[in-house]
Amino acid sequence: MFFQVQSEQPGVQPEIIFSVGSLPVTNAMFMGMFMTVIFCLFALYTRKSLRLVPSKFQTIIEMAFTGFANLIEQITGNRKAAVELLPLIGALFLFLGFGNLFALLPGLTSITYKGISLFRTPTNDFNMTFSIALAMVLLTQLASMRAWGFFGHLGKYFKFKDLYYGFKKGIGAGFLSIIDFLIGLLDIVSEVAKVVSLSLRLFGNMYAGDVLAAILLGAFAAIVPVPWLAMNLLVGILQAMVFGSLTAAYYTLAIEKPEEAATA
Amino acid sequence: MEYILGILGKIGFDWRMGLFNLINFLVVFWLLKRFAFGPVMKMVDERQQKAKDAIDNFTQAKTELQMAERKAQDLIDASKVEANKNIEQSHQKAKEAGEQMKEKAKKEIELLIVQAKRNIDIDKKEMKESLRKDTVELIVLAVEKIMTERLDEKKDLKMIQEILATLK
Repeated sequence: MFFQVQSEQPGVQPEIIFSVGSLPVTNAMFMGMFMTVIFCLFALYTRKSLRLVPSKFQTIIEMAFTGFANLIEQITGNRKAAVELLPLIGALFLFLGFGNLFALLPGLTSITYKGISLFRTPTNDFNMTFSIALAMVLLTQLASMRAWGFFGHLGKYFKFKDLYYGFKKGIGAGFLSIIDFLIGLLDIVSEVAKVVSLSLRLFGNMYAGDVLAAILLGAFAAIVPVPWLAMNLLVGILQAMVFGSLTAAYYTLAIEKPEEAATA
Repeated sequence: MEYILGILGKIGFDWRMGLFNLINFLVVFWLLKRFAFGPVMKMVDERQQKAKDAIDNFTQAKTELQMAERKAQDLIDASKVEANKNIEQSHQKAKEAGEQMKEKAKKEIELLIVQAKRNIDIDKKEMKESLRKDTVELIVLAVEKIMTERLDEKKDLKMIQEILATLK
């Protein structure tokens, strides 16, 4: 009854195309490098075409970048921090967003080398999402250390000082400070959880999208592709935005001082 | 660590590939920061600054223009007041000059009238004299005729003089 296409479900691990020494190069990595080349050309062209009286291309770029800055400002609540974070969050959004969307280009994944597809969505590789998520959480830790000082930063997790002052005040306050101390220890777990949640959310969404596409195309190939592609466009942009926004939020929380947090 | 890497490995994690991907992303980040975000935002700020400066300059120029217009209006008003004052003074002077001329003309006319009256009086006197002479002559002639007596010229003259003397 329905036009069915036999399509292979993608595996969790990306396929290895070739190896450079002991480093295996997968199709997701290849796509990542391909995107890096495209971004390199884009960045150089943008730099070269900048004029005080903007062209159409420059206007679009400026609108997009200003939009990013405004979005980050809404998250951080501070224009200065937004401008400071813009290159990182903007790069994250562009890299992950275009990474998610690139594989939707018709025919791109059909290009094969020795029977293996050359291009795979880079975020459909846990190595990519995990490494970036880990780097972002480490960056927030470094930013926190810079803002609070090394011991101030450690004091956010090991609240011995609060414990001492709590018991000095009284038994009730002392017991409350024990709870506070335990919450501080749990914050260490939450920092690890941030890496896991950031990386798995993006990877899971993109991988599940590919698996579902294979299943649905196999069942209803005549009606599924267009709405499915439209939804994937939305999901791809949304997931990149979620990743970037969460990174900005983690960064802001990490550098926020207690008095700022209380007034916010 | 081995345990964690083992768990992550089940979903395809390999630290070398992770590191490669991270470096790949950092290259993109550096490229975009160096050649796109930095220069573009700098350009946007520069343009905003120029627009702000232009608006400030425009506002300043507008204020200066308004001040100049006000100053010009003040000057025009002052000039008008001065001109009106001058016109008023001119009117006053013209009026005074007119009055003076009128007065002079009046005096001259009065003088002329006096002169004319004097002349008239003189003429009147002369005419009276002449009339008297003529009258006397006529009377003499009339008397002469009446008396049908012709007096000689000497007597005649004497008689006339006597009559004239009586008439005075």
